[in-house]
Amino acid sequence: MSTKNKSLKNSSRRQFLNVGAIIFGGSVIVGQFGCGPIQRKTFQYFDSNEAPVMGLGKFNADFWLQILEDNTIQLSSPKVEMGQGVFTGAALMVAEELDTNPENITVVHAKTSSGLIDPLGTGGSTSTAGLFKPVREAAATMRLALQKAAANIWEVPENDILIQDGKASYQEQSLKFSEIISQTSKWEIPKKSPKLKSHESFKYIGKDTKRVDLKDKVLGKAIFGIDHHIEGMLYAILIQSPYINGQVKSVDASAAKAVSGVEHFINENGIIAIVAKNRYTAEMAARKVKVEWDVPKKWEQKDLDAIIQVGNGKFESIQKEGNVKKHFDNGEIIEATYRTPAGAHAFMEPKGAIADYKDGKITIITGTQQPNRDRTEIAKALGLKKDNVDIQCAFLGGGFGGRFYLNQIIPAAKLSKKLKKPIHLLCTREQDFMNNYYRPGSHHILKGKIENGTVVAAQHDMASDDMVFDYLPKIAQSLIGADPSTAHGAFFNYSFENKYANAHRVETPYITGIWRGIGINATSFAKECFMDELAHAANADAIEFRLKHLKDDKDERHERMHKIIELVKEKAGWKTGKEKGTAKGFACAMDRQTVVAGIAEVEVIDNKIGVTKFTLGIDPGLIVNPEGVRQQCEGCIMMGLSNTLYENLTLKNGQVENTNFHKYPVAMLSDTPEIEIVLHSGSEEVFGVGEPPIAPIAPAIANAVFNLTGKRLRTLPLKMS
Amino acid sequence: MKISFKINGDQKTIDVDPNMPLLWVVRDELNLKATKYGCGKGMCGACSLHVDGKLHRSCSYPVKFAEGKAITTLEGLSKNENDLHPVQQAWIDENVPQCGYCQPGFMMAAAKLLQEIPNPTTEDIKQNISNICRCGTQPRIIKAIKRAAELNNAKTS
Repeated sequence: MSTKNKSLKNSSRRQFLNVGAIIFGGSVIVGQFGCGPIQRKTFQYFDSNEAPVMGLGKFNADFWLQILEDNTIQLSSPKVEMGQGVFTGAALMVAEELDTNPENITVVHAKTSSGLIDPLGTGGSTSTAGLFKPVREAAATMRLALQKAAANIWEVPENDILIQDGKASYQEQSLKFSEIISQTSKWEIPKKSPKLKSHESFKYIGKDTKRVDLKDKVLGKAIFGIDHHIEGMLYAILIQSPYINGQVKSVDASAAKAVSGVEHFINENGIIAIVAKNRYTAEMAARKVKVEWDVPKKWEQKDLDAIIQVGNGKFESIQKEGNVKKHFDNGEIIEATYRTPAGAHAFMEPKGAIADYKDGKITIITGTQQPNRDRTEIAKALGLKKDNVDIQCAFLGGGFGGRFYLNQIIPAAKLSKKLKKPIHLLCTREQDFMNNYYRPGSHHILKGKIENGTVVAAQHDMASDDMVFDYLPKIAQSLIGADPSTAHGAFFNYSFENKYANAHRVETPYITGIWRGIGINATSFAKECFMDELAHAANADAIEFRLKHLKDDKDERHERMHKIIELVKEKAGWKTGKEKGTAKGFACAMDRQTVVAGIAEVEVIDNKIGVTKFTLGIDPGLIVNPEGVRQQCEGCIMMGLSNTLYENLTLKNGQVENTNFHKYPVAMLSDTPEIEIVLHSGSEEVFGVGEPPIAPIAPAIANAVFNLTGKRLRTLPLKMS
Repeated sequence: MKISFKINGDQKTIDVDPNMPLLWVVRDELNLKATKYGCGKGMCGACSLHVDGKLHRSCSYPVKFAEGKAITTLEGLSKNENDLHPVQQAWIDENVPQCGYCQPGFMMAAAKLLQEIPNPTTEDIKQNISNICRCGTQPRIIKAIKRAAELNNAKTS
């Protein structure tokens, strides 16, 4: 008998669990308005806590898990898989509570039409932590329901039934989950949250597990956004301004329209597009569209650099402890200035979307980090009810914060509605570089004063553009003042008695947004290089100097940091001074509750910096899948190295100068250092992993270059000359 | 224009613009989606495949040059799922992919490298493959290529 229409999912319309809602900001900030000290407190809360900002909202948990006909357990994940391994972590959580091998669990993306909508998106290194409780609760509830159903079938006490390895058993009898489903018409679902397994009894969580999407990705079967094919689909390319803020003055599409295979040329309501029967034709024709652009200002990089300066823009104090000013009034002040460039995400799959409008409803298939926002935007743009918009996530060909806002979904949707055809819209790599949003550049001035080998006062001033501010609710904007992503990590976590941090919010002419690690890329580069400068000035060992300033009893991260530093130091064989043409450099960071420390070993040959080895230690709290954490650390080392040595998005003659990879070099196989990862779990709670490890990469490399060459390089990307 | 070639062992004839890049022929005309679009300029290697045993970046390879030749894409690299090509087996052993988008191109490049240099050193791998990965799978790719060489050696010895 087929269990297809009788799956556990469909058997109950009521929800398994009303998963504890984590609402934006939590109770900590509600009701607190505006003055300076509260803003600072709020900002620091955001900065140091496992952000509820991207946790889970309310879900109907009965849509999460289904048992399929072949007895596979399928989890519909509200968090998207962009390579970070959330599907695998989530599978382990299900496996644990159903006491069933993770190989019997599949994970798919939830669709917004299934009712499973993550209001906050996938990002901020919060997915595994955010899913940890609710997914286990859903699986545990399913375990109890199966136990009860089996008890009813055999007419025995439910407590005597063992749920394990995809089946229920009682003495000699056993039934597969799918068999229980086919024999059960009425389900009894426990009302209360079930008791979860204790951490000590974990069988799958905490064990090295290969990715659940591994085989599909190796066989080329994994379907990404651009891989979807709908019968009768047409291929669209947008004509977009190569100039920052360029507006159309005139368009001549006569040559483009004459290309055989071009089906439509659209020029209305701000959308200019070629729609053709295949991609090649669309690309060829798009090149023949002649557009005259009205360019209000032809931006040059030096114009931007002049804007991104401490002292410009809106000033926000985000940390004010003790009295720095008093200490800076006299004596020797150490001061240094740092700069980081703008950056592109440059993920391997350029942005795109497939839109299919039919009978007043639209389906969008795309790789996105924020399906819920996409749905709202599409509904608004097309004048549809949200229920008539279904966002179906595909695997993301890289995310890195770059798929939070998709600027091509609305044109794709509008074209599909207008032409009554499915539309495949894919950005060219050039558009992906030139018509996108970017990580903003930054400028930092750091000042510090040392007395008797101890930092008595320090100040960090940072200028940069926003990453998320405009997307925050108004109430949060007034509460926080500074952009919580851009200025993330801007304040000092060291136990200095007097410390100030200030954000200077400036406006650059292009759209700026989040990039892996958000502000911590820039802030930890500036702060951790400066910490090295202070250590040098104090004539102290770089690591000992930091340990000396990690002495806050009230901040439990300090103790965990001591441990991870000790482990990394030992693993890397920390030595100051040069060794066979190489030298080492150190940096550490706290990214919310995760603590990381890294030691880079570098060489300089013909003025070119090379990283020969990187040792990274991380304490992300409870580790769900060590293998997954290692992958994320390796990823952060490579992306951090890329960002440290190569990436630099610049403007010239009003355009983004980096049109493709030849002008936006990134780390390659040839740059790969020897890598050692040290994992340590210093907490029973799950914290983030996807971004924190990127924080120490750039400063550790820059500090190593100083130790090797005596040169302080204070601008990214690092260049010897 | 009609163009005939073999792809993953199957004979195909298609009627397309002779200048259409092989990438779009493979993906959109033949529905083989493992070969990816990355940069369109032959720089990133996401579209790598083999034509008559040579490694090519198909975004910059007009289909007319494939006339009469034999193309292999990632879908045709292994005989079947139970008898994986050493490169694919090694990719599984080393748990290489993250987002996975660039991996087909890397695996096609690795398969070719092993034909040229059966036992590559780390330096050989670093100097001979110039594909781009943004997730940072490079350390595992290096390990997997060495592992594939071992699997190859075990097969032939």
